[in-house]
Parts: sequence; C-alpha cells; structure tokens
Amino acid sequence: MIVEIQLNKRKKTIAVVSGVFTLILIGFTLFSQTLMSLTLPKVTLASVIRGNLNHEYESTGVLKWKVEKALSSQSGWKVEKVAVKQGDVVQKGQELIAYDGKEMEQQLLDEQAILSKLKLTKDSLQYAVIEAKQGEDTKAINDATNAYKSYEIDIDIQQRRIQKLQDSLLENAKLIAPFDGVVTKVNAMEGFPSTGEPDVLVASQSLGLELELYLPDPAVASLKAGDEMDLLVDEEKARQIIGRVATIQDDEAGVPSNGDGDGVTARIPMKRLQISIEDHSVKEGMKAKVILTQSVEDMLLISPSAIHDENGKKYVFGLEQKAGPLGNAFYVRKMYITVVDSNESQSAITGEMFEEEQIIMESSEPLQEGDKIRMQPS
Amino acid sequence: MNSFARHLRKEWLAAVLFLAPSMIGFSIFYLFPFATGLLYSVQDTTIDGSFVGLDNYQAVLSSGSFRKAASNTLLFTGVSVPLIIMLSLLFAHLLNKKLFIRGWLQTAFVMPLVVPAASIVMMWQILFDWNGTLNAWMQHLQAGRIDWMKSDGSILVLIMIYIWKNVGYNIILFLAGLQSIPKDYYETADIEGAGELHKWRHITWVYLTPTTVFVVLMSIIQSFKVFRETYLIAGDYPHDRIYMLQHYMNNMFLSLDVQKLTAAAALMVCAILLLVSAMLMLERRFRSYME
Amino acid sequence: MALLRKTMLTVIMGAFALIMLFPMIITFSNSFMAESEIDYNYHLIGKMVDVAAGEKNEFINLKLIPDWVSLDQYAEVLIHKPMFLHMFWNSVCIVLPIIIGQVAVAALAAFAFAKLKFWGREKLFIVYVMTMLMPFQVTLVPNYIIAGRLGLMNSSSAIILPGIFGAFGVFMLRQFMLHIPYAYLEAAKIDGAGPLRIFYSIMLPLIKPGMAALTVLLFVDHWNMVEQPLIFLEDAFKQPLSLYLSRINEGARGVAFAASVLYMTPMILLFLYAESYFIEGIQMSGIKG
Repeated sequence: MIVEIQLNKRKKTIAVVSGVFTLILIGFTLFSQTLMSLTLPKVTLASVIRGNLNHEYESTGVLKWKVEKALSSQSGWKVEKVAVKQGDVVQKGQELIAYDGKEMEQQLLDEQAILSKLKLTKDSLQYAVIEAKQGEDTKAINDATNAYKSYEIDIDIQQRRIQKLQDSLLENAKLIAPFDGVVTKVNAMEGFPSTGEPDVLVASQSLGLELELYLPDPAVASLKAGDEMDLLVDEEKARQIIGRVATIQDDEAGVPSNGDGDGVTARIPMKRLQISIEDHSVKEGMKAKVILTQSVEDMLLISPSAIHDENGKKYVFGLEQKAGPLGNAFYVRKMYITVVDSNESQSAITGEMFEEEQIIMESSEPLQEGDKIRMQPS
Repeated sequence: MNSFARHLRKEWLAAVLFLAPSMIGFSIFYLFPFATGLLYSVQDTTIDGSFVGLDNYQAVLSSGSFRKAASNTLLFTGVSVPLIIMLSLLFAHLLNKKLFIRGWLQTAFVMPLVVPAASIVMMWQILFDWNGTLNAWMQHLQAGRIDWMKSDGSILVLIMIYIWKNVGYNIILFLAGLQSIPKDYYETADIEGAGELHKWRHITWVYLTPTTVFVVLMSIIQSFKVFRETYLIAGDYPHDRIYMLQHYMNNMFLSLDVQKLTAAAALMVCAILLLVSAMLMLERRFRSYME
Repeated sequence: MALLRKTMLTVIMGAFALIMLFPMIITFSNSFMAESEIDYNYHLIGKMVDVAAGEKNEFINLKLIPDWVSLDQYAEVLIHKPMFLHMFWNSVCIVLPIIIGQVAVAALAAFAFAKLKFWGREKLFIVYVMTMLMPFQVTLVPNYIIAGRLGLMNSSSAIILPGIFGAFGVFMLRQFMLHIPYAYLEAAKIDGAGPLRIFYSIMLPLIKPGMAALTVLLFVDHWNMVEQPLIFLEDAFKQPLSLYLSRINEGARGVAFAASVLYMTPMILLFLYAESYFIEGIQMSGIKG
C-alpha cells in the first residue's frame, strides 16, 4: 500500500517534470527566433545608390588691393611728422610724411655762405682786369682775365651745389601720394628714422581688389583665365560676389594630402589662383571663400564608413538571405570592391554590386562573413 | 454440427477483418520487399533481369570483404553472446538477493536500454580515443596506449558497448525466470542437505533453461543491432575488425550493388533462421526431456 | 550478519549500477560546461599525438564536475540552433504516428492471432515473428524501391508507414492477450456480443498494461532510429534528432552534451514513468505462448 502511494507520488513528479520539459521546448520553439534575434549583432543598412560623385574643394583667402605702392625715404632722416593714418583716402600729391632735414639745411646754409664769400671777391677781380687792360702788359691782362673766369666757374659750381642740396631737401623732406588711393599701412613713427620697411603703403583705389587662392590641381582643371567665379564673402552675413580669374599658376610647394595610413604623404599638385574683384561693396581685408564642385557622373556610391580594409583590399558587408526553418534569416556576406574615387561623404566603387543593393553601415558587434544578423528596425 | 461450421466461418471472417489492416501494410512493407529481395538475389539486374541461379551468392561468398564481414559478425556474436548471458545471469542472481534500494539498482541496469545511441556516442569517443580516458588509465597502470577504435581492440570496445546496453534486458528476463521458480523446491533441497552448487544446477538452471533459450535468441538479434553504435562511432568504413555484415550491406547499397546486397541479406536470413530453429529445437528437446 | 551481507551486496551492486549510469552521468554533468571548457577538455579527440616525436603526452581531460556551471550549451542549442528544435519535433512527428498506428493495428491483428481460430494462424504468426528478427538491412533495397514507387522518398511517411506495420506490436500484444482467459470472452459471447464488441469492450480494457508496455518499447526503438532516416530522408529539414546528434558529434562538439541530454530526456522520463510496464512488456515477450 505504502509502496503503491510512493510509486504514485513518483509518477506524479515525473509527469510534472515531463510537462515542464515539454512546455520549455514548445516555448523555445515558438520564441527562439525572437530570443535569437535579441542576441544577434544589430546592423543598420544603407543601399547602394547610382549617382554623381561630387568633389567639393574649398579655399579661403583674404582680399587685398590689387596695386599697392610702398613709399619710403632713402635719406635715413628722422620722421618729423606723419600726416596720414591707415585707411585715409589721399589725393595725388598730398603730403603723407614729413622728414626732418635740418642737417642738410645746415649744409645748404654753409654752401650759400661760401657763395656769398666768393661773390665778395668779384669787384676786386673786375677792377684788376680793367686796370690791367689800361696797361700794355699782356701777361697782366691774361692773369687778371683768367682769375676772373676762374671766379665765375667757382660761382657756378657753388650755385649747382646749392641747387642740388635744395632739390634733395625738397625731395626727401616729405613723402607725397603718387596717385589717388588709400593709405593701407603706416610704418613710420615720428621722431625715429625709417626702419627699412616701407614707411607708408598706399593702394590705388581705381584698380580694385584681388584674391589669392590655393586649390588642388583637379579642382581647377576646367578653369581658365578670364572665367568668372562665385566667391563667398565672410561678413556678418555671408554674401556672394563675383570674381574673375586673372592668372592660374603652378604652386611649387603643394600640400600634403592625408595619405592612406601608409605614412607616405602623397603631394597633391596645387595651383595658385589670382582672382580680381571689381565689386566695390567689399573691402580689403575681408575673408573670401570659394567652393568648387567637380562631379564624376553615374557611379555606384556608398558611404565611406561602410568600407573596410583588409591588407589594402577593400570590402563591404552585404546581406545574404537564407530560408531558415522559421522564416528567412539574414547572413553577412563579404563583397570585395574597388574604390574608384571618394569624397568626405561618399565613395564611388566598382565591384560585384548593383544599384539598390543593401549593405551594412554599422553594426553593434564586429562582423565576420557568415554571421547571422538582425536588422535595425527603421 | 451445422451451427459449428457456421460459427467457424463467422470467426474466420472476423479474423480476416481484424487482420486486414495489419496484413495489408505488413505485406507491402515487409513480405513483398522480402520476396522481391530474394528474387533480386538470383537475377543479374533488378529491372527485367534474367535468372542467373546462385551466381550472385557465389560472388558474395568469394568476396573478401563479405568473408571478413561474416567472420567478424560471427566472432562478435560468438564472443559477446555467451559473455552477456553469463554477466546478466550473475547480475540477475545478485539482484534477486535481499538488497537495499533494489528497485533503483534495477532501474540503473535497465536504463542504458532506453538511452539513444546517438546521444552517448560522444562518451564512447572520450573513453576510447587515442587520447581517451581509457588510455589515460592504462598509462597510469604502466601499460601502453592502444588506439582502440583503430586496432583489434575495437571489437572489445564493441563488446563492451553491447553488454552495457543490453545487459539490462537480459537481467529483466532472468529475474522473471528466477522469480517464477517455486520457493518450496529450494526448501525441499535444503531439507535434503543439498549444497548451493547442487541446488543451482538441479533447480535454478533447469528452470531457467527456457528463459535462457529466449535470452540467447534475443541477444543474438540484439548483437546485430550494435551496428548502430559502430556506425555512429566509426562511420561507413571502420577498422577491419569491426567491419560487420551490416557495413557490407550498407556499402553495397551505397554503391548500388543490389545483387550482392540481396544475396548477402538472404544468406544472413538463412543463418538467422537456422540459428532460431536450432535454438527452438533444443528447447523442445529439453522440454520433452523434462516431461 | 545478514544486514552486513545485505549492505555489502548493495555496495557492490551499487558500484556496478554506477558504471552502468556513468555515461549518462557524465553527459548530464558535462552539459553544464561552457563551450570553451568543453573545447579545452576534449580538443584532443581524434588527434594522434606522437609521443616518440616529442609531442606532449596528453590525454583527454574527462571531468565530472564543470569548473564553471553554465547554461551556455543549452542556450546555444535552444536559441541559436533552430535546427535542433526543428529536428526534435521531427522526431516527435515520426515517433507519435508510429506508436499510435502500431498500437491500433497490432491490437486488432493480435486479437485475431490470440483469440480467433482460422486456417494457417500459426504459420502466419511465425512469418510475422521472423521478420521481427531480421536486421533492417535485409529488406533495404526492396523497401527503398517500394518507397520510391509509392512516392514516399524524402518524406517521413517512408519511415512512419513501415513503422506502423512492424510485427513487434502484433507479437507482444498477442502475448498479453494469450494470458486473458477464454472464460472472459465466452461470457460475452453468450450474451450475443460480436467479435468487434468483445475486442472493444472486453479485450482492450484488459490489455491496457500491454499497450502501455508496447508504447514504451516502440518509443525506445523509434526515438533511437538512425539507419532508416539516413537512407530515406535526404532533406535535413525532415530528419529526426538522432541524425542531428550524429552530425553534431563531428562538428559542434561544444554543444553535443546538452543536445544529448535534451535528446534522451523524453526517453528517460517515459522510462521512469512507465518502468513497470516496460519491464512487464519485456518479460511478457519472453514467456512462451
């Protein structure tokens, strides 16, 4: 009797265990897909698009006056007075800077004194000639005449010397504006001699502004001198103006491009562009920016962040759909590609791919070929 | 008389109705295949073949791999069946004694019978691999390693697995036989002062003989089923020592050599029939001797 | 003295019982190892270590208790390997129809063999028993051809139908029915009940233990199937769990233990539940009718 009851108890336990076992298996059968997908790497997808790959090149420069004259004095005199300041509009012939020419004035006075002194001997020499002519002594006549001529030559020399000093004084005592323009810089300081730099810079207003830009070779491939281009002027509100390409020249230096991680920095050949601006609304010293777009047409485009590198071979992760026992499952497929061209946001590629194909952009875990994945609900 | 005949006919009709579902399926899936199998074994091709007599049998019998398979099967059965009979008889005796937790012990011995072969294959690999646990123990005992599955030792492994799996079945049968022996026989013998051995030989063994015949028969049948384990552990082409008739037939099937396969099958059937009838005859003779 | 003897005997038999249970215990305990630990312990399987050539003399590290108890393997099998559960249900879908079908068909036939008299009864029964004794390979080719003819190839019916009509059920239920005295049936016959009525309302209730025993034995036999599905089911989606395991042993060793445990659990639960029927069934088949 007791054995019977124990046996029944055992059977009941086994029945309960069997029930639980069956329920667990049924539960896992129904929900394993869901559970599994929770543990799979999560990916976000993007599709391959066909379109144009745009390269955007940007370069910024500062607007400068086109012609700028540097004025300075060679005298080495001290500056006596600075008559203008930076930014002043000046007329042709206006005095800009006056120099202290005292030393030369002193010399001039000395020379003039020598001249006066010379002139004092004139009457006595004239009297000696007249007196000699009254006599018959030819020698005395010649001597007196020569002495007088010599006196005249001395006078001439002295007068020229004075003239020269006077000219020099006039010339070096001040700097004047060579044309109508604007004072762009003043280096001279009152009381000090000029430092070797130009004492004052004056720019011509009538010729306008110019901009010097450095751009990579491919960006300017289609440009030629005389073309118009849009410039963005950096004011409080960016504004567009029109410039005209004046010259395009090779730039020797080049700019190191961000190489592909090999440590080898390939140099992109650069071009120097000079652009003249005739717009009078902009001022010198403003920053101007130019944006050039080059497009390569009809390419397969993907985001560069989806491209992986394997010893120089580039690949992306695509998707492979396989029919599983419980619906379709997605697996990672490695696809080798060749990157033809790229810019910051897109890469043009070739490879076994077609338009609209889905590729993996990001993944919650590092992926490998053949991994099962789940897709980010989007 | 008339009513008896009607009654008999009625019963015959009922028997046909009761047997019909089983008979139809049995014919389609067992009898008919068996008959066609026999037919194939005396033809040269399966489709529109012509009668070739015993050519196929000759080919099979002269084939080295068949001989190897047959002798292996014979060796295996010949060694493992007596061994398992002895072991199961021993355990049945011990389990029939007064023991604690007897029910649980019996359960433990029968358990291997229900454990699926495929689920335990990994265990056999761990035990009998070249780097396996058994070799680790052998090394401890200063004996060298044996590559069990790739040497003559493989047949020992097979015998072990066979005994492990089937000993419970035989123990149950022997236990039933032991428990059916009336207790008073032993009591009478005790009074007569018979020794333990004498009692065993003249009471236990005599009463167990019919059971033993059946156990031997079942053990032989089960010894053919050890193929499943062999196949799971060692695959299509195991070591020569354990290349059994079933391997031979399986490989003939895979190579689509139907004639050889059916001839070998027919030979095996003949052997089994011979064995069974020999066993039954032995039993009948024993019975008449008892009476 | 008797108590000491009993204890000694129990200890000895207990030791043997442990040996019998050893593979199951190891499988169960190792199913709680993490995959990495399995790999660490058992990576040497199938490798030839040439000690003479100076390689390290190592052995598989059979461990009873995991260093780290983990449900890794179960999670892997149940969640990440959908094939496992799929094949588990395949097994169920193959075994259940066989059991239901064979118990029904065999009960009918066994009744005819046991309790109805007809010409050729014994001879026909011997034919049934003979097929029971044959290894599967004997009828392999004709079975294959018939399955092809009936369009059953690569379908689980190719296994289920032969399974239903197996002779074992007929044999076993007949053994049970022989033990039902004729007197039970005679009484009903006198009341005017036909054979069908007698079968249904008297025989069936009486042989319930026999059907239970048959159910357990059939479950054991067909849950274990390896050869038949290997030949008749090429499509992995239709294969039962036994083949999954035979494959997992080659490849994903890390989850083999948990998969094995899950595979044998239904079997062991059923066995523990119906052990008495199981044993009765085996003993009945051994008693001469």
